[in-house]
Amino acid sequence: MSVRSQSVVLAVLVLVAVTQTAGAMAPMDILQAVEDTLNAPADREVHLSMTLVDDQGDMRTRELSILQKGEDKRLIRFLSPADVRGVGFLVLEDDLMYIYMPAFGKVRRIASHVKNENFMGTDFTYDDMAQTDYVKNYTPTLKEETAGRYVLELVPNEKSEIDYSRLVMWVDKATMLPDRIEFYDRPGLLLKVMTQTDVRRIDGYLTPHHIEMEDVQDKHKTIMDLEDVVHDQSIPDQQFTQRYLKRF
Amino acid sequence: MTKLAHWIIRYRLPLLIVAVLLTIFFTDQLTKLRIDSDILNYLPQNDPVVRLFREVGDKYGGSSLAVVALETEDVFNASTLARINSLTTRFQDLPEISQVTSLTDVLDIRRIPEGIEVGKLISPGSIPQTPRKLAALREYALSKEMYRGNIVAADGRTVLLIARVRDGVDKTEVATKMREIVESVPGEETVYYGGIPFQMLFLTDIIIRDLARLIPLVALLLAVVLYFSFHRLRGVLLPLGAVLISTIWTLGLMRWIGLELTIVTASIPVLLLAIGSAYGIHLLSTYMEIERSDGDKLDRIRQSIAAIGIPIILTGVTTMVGFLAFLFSYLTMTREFGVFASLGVFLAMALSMVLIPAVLSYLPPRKPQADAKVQRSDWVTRTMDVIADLVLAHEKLIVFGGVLIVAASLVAIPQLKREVNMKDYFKPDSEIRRAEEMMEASFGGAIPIEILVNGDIKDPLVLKEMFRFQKYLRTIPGLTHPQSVANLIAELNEQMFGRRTIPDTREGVANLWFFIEGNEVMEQLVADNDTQAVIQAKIGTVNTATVIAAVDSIDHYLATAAPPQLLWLELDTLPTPVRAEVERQRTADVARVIVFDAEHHGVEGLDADEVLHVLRAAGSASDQRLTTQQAETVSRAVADYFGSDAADLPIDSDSVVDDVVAGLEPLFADSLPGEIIIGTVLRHRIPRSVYADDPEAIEYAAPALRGIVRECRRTAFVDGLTDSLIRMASHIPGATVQAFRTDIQGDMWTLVEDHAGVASESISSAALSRLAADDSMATTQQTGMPIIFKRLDRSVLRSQAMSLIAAFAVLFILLAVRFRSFIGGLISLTPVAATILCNFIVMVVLGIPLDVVTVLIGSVAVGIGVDYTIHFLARFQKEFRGEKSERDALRVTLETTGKAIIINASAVALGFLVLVLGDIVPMQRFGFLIAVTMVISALGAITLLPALVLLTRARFVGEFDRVARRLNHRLDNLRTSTRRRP
Repeated sequence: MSVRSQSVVLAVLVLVAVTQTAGAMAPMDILQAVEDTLNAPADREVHLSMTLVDDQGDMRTRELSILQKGEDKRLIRFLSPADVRGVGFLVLEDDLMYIYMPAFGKVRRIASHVKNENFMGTDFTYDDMAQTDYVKNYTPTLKEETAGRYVLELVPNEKSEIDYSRLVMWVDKATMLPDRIEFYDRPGLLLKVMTQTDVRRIDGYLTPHHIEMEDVQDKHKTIMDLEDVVHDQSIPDQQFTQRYLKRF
Repeated sequence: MTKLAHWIIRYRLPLLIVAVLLTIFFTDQLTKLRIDSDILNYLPQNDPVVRLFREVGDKYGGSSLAVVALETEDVFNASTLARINSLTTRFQDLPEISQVTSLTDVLDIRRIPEGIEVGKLISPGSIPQTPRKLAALREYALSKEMYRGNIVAADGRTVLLIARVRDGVDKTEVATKMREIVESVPGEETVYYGGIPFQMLFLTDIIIRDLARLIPLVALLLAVVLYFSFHRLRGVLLPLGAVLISTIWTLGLMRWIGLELTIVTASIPVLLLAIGSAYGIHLLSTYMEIERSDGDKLDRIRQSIAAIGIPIILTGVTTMVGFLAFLFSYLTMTREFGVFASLGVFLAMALSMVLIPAVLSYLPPRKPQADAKVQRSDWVTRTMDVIADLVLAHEKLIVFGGVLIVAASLVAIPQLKREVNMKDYFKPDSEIRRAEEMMEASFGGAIPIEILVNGDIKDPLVLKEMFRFQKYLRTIPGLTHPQSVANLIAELNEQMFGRRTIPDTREGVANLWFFIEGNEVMEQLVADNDTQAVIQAKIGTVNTATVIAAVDSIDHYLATAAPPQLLWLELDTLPTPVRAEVERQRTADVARVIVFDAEHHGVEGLDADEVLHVLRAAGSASDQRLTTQQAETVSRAVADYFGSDAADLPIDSDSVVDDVVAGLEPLFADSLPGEIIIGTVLRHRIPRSVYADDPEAIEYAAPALRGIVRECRRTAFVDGLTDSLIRMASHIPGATVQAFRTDIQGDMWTLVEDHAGVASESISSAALSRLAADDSMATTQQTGMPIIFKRLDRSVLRSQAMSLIAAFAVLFILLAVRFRSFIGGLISLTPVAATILCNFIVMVVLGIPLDVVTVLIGSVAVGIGVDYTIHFLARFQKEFRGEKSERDALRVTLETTGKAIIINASAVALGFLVLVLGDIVPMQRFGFLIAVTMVISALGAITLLPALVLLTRARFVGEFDRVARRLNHRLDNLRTSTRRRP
């Protein structure tokens, strides 16, 4: 069985499990199911528009494409505005990160511990963008369960380098996708709220098409609208190299 | 006056009741009176300079900085860093604070192997603990200009936590909270508090302490003086009560209409006690004189009012005029002071005339004492006689003395210092002064200075201009640490590509900008969707003159050296003559900036012409011939490329790489080879098998290699020039060699760029007409505390002039009418004019600057001092118009009124001297100088004034010639009678 069909089966199994034994799942199982849903496709190519809204209500929009394979290969490419067109980020395992700057024709490594910094003016940290390693980094507890949702509280594990004090995650039982995540800062105050809506099934995978991340402290918001999503194109590993990062 | 006296007596009961009720009401108001020590609130809010300052503050997260400094042997130890971290996060939790910058929360742009790290200098969760890591952090932090002398002192003993306080919040409250937080996080370090919010907090404390200490002291002093004057309890209580009630009403009224106490209006209570008691004293002493005569008690009270009413009102009005002259002042707080001080004087005068008689009417009359009047102070009378003789014998000498004063003041006044800095309000040994001095010595001061730039901030031209301007700012004495998005971009460029300059393309800027986009530091530097930026710098609090010189040189640069319109030209597209002209201009601009850098780093021996000569002689990077050594460097870079992960065409075999390099070498030694020829060499020398799986590899590799060669050639050119300039310099301070090198390398990188930005006016119009170039516009504006200081400084001068002119003009009219003589008006103002000049001389001699408080002295001294003149002239006139000779009239006047003037002036001076015991420096000076001017104007009234009258034989006091005329008259009569006798 290919990785892809394994994931599909797993996702289906999870869905079945959810609908049949709702309420009986352990918190860690819920989190694992969420992560499995998120990581179900073998690879994914997304075109999206990203709008940044600042506290004055000023907006700026940029378009980008994200190429993702597995949990630890990602290539983010900016397509607009014109002056940053072609800027690319390559994120590999072990937190290796590279940026390509077309204006200089050069690739530079970015230090790994910027993971907790915001990604290029957005309200997402580099880590938020990855959104794939909840199970590894957090210990979940079930705070509440309603007819349609689980509410999990995630506390970072001691060894993780997570900069939040905790997350509260609302998981939709029907999709096993989080539709709202609250991020609390170190002093314990609400820092950011992420909502994921407009979930569509594309190539058999559930994909939220509208994602908002609001920094409630800075009153700054990032909105991502997915436009074009393609899964499982068998993207070769070669695409995730510095050499290909430069080719644009 | 008699009518008024009757009216007061008739309605004394209702008047008393109303007074008591009002006093209760205003006492209640008074207890709610708050102190406003915010210097910004003292300024007129509709002044465009003030408005811009507030707008900028609002937009960039607040314009006042509250600074906490921690001092210890070496701040790079785990416990100090932990304390800094804990304070930083707790300050950040305060909603009034928009941002905190400290070692544990500051942007760090750092080079890492083959890359860059844009993050925090110390991540909050990972404070280094081991000695080795701490030492590494220390070395790194102290090596960077972004931190050294900015948030950590160069010796590593002191660190700063700089909190940006939002505008429109109560700054003293924020400062209080911050101090509480600091006290709740214990540590070994010595703590200093600096910046305007803390200055305000300290100032508020001091104002309250001074009020609590000085008011009882002056009241006690007054009580003692009153007791010795009247020897009776009522003599103490009545004038004191009247003046205290008037103080309560005045301050209560301020609160009632919504005003707060400022450092200037805080002096009103002491002021009123010192000068407002005079009215009660005059009334009471008149009553006591009349009391000894027979008659009805009420009638005697009425007589007293009628007798002394007019002089009391006249002297009161002149004093009020002195205060009201402050309505011409620029500062809101000074205007408030003028209005409420004069209101206080009015109330003291009115209440003395109403309340004292009303209360007296209910008190039992004084029991007749056996010849109550004790003959006292005979020595005073004798002194007065000596003065009288002196004036009569040497009137010319005395007037000459007056002329000398004028002459001396002409020399002194231009040397009068001005000081408008808040630091100056505190005593030298006070906590806040020590903090400011430490801040100045280790961090170059804490006053933010800001320059607003409006334009397309992401435009490389605009950024280049900003960066150039910052380099100029660094040459201004007293000004340190200019910071803007421009130097962040340059810093990124340096850490990423090794050149500390702004890239020459919009894409280049945007690519780098990306790294800091959304970073919190950007909120302080850029606004309005990247159409406005601010350049911040700090200036020491040294003195107003330095601050103003800095403001002026900034304005001068902005007016002359910042081009309003710039052209963006791609050099390769230009016709040769135009290109030559543009390059010439560009070289001149670069030379200028190199000289700025040299000045900043203390490099000597690089003069502008010589630098320009070296740059021009070097020619252009594209035609340079590489030395063997330089060529080797290029070869190495090319070889490295094939081995790197980012290579478009990776080659494992060293021999193939060597072969390719050997094939390229002849191409790049003399000029920059084209992509096609590079591609040909690659195809020729690299076996096809190497790129079989990636047929496009050569197409990608050729331009990449060309880019590498181009950059290497340019670097060689710039490095060569850098070496020449460094050799040329006669002296470079050891510590700055590397920084200077980095700076000028960045400057000269401009010379090798493909694009040039030049001021449109610097190119001949013939060349211009053939160009289709993009142009950029940016406008600049200066704001910040220093420009406010300059405003204050100007206003201090203007206020001084305006209020003096106004006071003199009004008083002249009053006095000319009073004496029904133009000359009389002039002569009676002369002693006070001389007093003001003496005051300035005293200020120069003692080094006391003109500040927002000492500027008040002139008009106050005129208003109070002119009373002595009035009293003196009135008495002299009365005596002289009688049958006395001028000699006798003067003697009598001096023995009576003259004595009273001296006693009165001494009492008022003593009252003001109490201010010297306070802690607010300008108030100390104010108290001292008013005391001095009181004594001088009293002396002037009894010496210069009569001397002038005698010398000019002014007729408004009486007829000097009457003896002679009488003689003449008699002679005439004689003649007529003899003529009639035939």
